[in-house]
Amino acid sequence: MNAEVFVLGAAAVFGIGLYGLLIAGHLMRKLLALNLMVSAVFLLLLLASEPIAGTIAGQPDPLPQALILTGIVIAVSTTAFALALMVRYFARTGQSALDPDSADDD
Amino acid sequence: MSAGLLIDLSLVLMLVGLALQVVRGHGLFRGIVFFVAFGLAMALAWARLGVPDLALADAAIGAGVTGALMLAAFRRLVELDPAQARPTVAPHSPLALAIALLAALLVAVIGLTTIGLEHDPGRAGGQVLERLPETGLGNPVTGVLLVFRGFDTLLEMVVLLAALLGARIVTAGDRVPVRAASGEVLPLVGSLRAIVIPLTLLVAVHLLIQGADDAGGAFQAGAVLAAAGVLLLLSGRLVPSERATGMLRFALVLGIAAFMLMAWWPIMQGRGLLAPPGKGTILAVEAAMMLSIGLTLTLLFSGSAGVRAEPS
Repeated sequence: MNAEVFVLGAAAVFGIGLYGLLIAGHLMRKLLALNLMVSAVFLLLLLASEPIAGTIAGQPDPLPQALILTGIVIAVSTTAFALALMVRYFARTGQSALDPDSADDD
Repeated sequence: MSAGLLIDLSLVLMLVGLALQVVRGHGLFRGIVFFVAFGLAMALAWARLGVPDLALADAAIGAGVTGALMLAAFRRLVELDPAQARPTVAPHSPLALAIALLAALLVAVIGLTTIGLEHDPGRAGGQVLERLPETGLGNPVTGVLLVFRGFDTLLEMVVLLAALLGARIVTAGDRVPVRAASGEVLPLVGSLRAIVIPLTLLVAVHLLIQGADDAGGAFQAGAVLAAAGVLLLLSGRLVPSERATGMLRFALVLGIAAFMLMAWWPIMQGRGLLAPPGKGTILAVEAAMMLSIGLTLTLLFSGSAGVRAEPS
């Protein structure tokens, strides 16, 4: 395993997610981009930990794993709620972007 | 160049390429599909990093459930306005590109610094492994989730329920439920369902029980259960209903109730809040959590107050 390769990959995904968040007009695109950033942060969180010394085959630290697992569930909860908000917003206003001027990709 | 490095490089390149497609791909639908593919690639990356629990969780929850929820929301958008399905492309912005590049650089520097740091030998992770035998569990991640940091997991269950209640409150007046089936009877769906649903349930229960000692656990199992629920909704065997039965509400809070019982029971016996329960108790609580998680995610997908079975 080459931690550096994954760190650089996570940084790239984070940057791509941020770029997507900034350029997207459509709220669902923003959500997709946010979820990309979340994944990158999870990857970094795991990479920052190191295997526990003195265990068989260097067992990965269980604590960040549990935190990430919790994070994945929280991410899906907030995404579900945000999607419900977005559908409601669209049903009421007919807009898919918060700022009507930037409603570019709908 | 070693084979390991080659695998890591191709995995990372795949992640970056898929992420680019999510952001730059034409049209929302393509973006969602590429996001699901990204989630599966993340699962591969987790497996490569030696954390199978996260690989299962990201495949089931990150890719599966999130993707299903996105597609359900997309369909509702298209029902409201068919123009939403048109392929489009996001504009290019040099300023956003500069900001994103700087952010990526910052994250890379932080990441590369942290992986070089010395770690405290007495940190919590080591203590978890040391004291794991007291819990009777073999999987340290389940140990952390259900015992050592049980309070976190209890609140996580509450967040999931709060998300469902919030989504219900927000959309209750809109009357745009997912139409379960297209109305036409497809001849192969019934027999496919007869094979897939029992297998899905088997996988869910297997993940739950295996989670005590090996990769798996209540959240992965609950997500697999939700997959069965989504399949039943899509094939018209379950239909959204605007009324939640008492039984359904009970099942929604069952996981939280069982968890709280597990937390309080040791106090009654004079031990302390969230004192380590036995393995049997943990599995029973996890089973209750699996049911609640599966049902909550299914209801988030259907976007309705309840579901009821439709005789086929």
